[in-house]
Amino acid sequence: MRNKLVISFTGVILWMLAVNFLSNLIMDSAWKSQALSIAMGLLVGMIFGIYISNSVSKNLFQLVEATTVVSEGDLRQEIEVKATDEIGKLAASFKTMVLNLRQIVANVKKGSHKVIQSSDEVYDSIKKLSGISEQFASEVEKVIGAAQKQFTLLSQDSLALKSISDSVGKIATMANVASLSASRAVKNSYEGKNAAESAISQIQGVFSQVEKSILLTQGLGNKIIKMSRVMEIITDIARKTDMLSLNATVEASKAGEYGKGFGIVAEEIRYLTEESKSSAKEISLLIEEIQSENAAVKTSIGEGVAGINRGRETMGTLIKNFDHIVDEVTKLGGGFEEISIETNRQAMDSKTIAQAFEELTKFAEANSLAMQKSNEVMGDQKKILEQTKASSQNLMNTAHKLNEAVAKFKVADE
Amino acid sequence: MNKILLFELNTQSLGFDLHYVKEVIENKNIQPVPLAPHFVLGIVNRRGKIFTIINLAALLGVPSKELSPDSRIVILEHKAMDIGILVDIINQTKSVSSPAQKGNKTRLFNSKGKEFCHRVLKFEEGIHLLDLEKFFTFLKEGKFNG
Repeated sequence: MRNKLVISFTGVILWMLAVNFLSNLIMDSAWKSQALSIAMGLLVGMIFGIYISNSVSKNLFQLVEATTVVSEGDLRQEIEVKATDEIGKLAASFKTMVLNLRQIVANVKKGSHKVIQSSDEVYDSIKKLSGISEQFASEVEKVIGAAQKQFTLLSQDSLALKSISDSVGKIATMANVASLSASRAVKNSYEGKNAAESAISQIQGVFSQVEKSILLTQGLGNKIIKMSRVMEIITDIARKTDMLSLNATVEASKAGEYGKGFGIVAEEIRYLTEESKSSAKEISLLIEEIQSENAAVKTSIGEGVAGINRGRETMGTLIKNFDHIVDEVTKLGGGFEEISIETNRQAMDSKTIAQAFEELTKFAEANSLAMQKSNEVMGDQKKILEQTKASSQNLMNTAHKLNEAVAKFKVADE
Repeated sequence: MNKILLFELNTQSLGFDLHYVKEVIENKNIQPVPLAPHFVLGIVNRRGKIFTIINLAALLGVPSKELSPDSRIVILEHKAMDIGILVDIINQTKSVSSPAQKGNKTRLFNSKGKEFCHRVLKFEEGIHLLDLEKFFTFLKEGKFNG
């Protein structure tokens, strides 16, 4: 085109020069020749201008038409390029651009379809996932509840075990004490046996003493009986004297005046006998009392002897029982020692168990805490899922919008 | 001035004239007599002489007391008739100057008792004097069942 323009411009100038020379020859006046040459020059310039503009604008027009179609989104048309000038180059590059654009748009369309599909799938997956995660969350909550229960139960168990361990420890100390007491009891029962034996020998001494005192009281009883017989004689004598004096009084009264003095004497004798009678009576009463007391002493001594006999028997059985007790307590002491050893071992074991349970409780607590944390994490996950869901929805919307945007472009028969 | 012998039958104090008393002996060896009146205890042999012993309490209607070492037999003598009476205890002999008064202040006696003991000694309340004359008359008449 530039060449065309240069050639036509050069032709016009040559034409102008030629016209100007010719006109100068033909025409007499300069003005006339000048006017002619300008008019010729203008004519030729116009012809050249029209030609050039026609050749340029035809191609340009075609290009404009093509761009208009493309600008409406139709990328289907094929652009033919005949010209080799700048317009042709433009058309060619335009063609290339349209081809590229077509390919891109087609790719974009495909891509957006795929994106929609994929995001649909993603959405579904997220929905499922959120369902699953909700189920999981509920399961986790259950697990948390269980873990908390486990923790509380374990802590209770741990406390119980601790108290068991404590009580087993106490039992162990008690068993130790019992073992010691058993050995002391063996010693004590030996001592008791010895004491009972010495008591029996002492009781035998007492018994011989009691027998002596029985003999003594019997002798006393015999003497008292003799005494009471003597008193009976005395009483009898008093009675007889009383009667004699009474009779003497009677005789004296019968003798009248002569018997008066004798009567008085007889009366006096009678008073004396009364007195001796009452004294004898008192003595008799005292003797009776002594007798009854002696009898009481005798019976009580008899009871005492019976008691001592019984005591002797009881002491015999006591010694036997002490023998049994010694045997049993010795056995018991051995048993208590075993019990003490066993309970000590048990105390150690239960302590270990209690410690293990305490650790287990700590683990359960940690577990429970971890579960709670995981629940929190689940909550976060849920939020993230929600966000993801929202994002996938956004993505889908965006893809739809993209699809709509790209839909303006027509690439091939769809 | 009479001398009185004071004695007791159970709780009842009695007395009679000492003049009739022959002897006082112990209450011993009384032999029961079959078919005798209810107030006759039996007989006693005293130095070869036999005396009938009267249960004075039963005769006078005084409740009888159990025999004790203090009970005595008083042998009375009245016109060749000797008789023994059983008394529970002999208290004393007493000289009495004033005569006994009439009166009967105890309910213990039966009609016989009231008949024989119608007088009371003045010096001491409640001592009844036994009228031995009446007593012997009763025994001599022998109307024991009447």
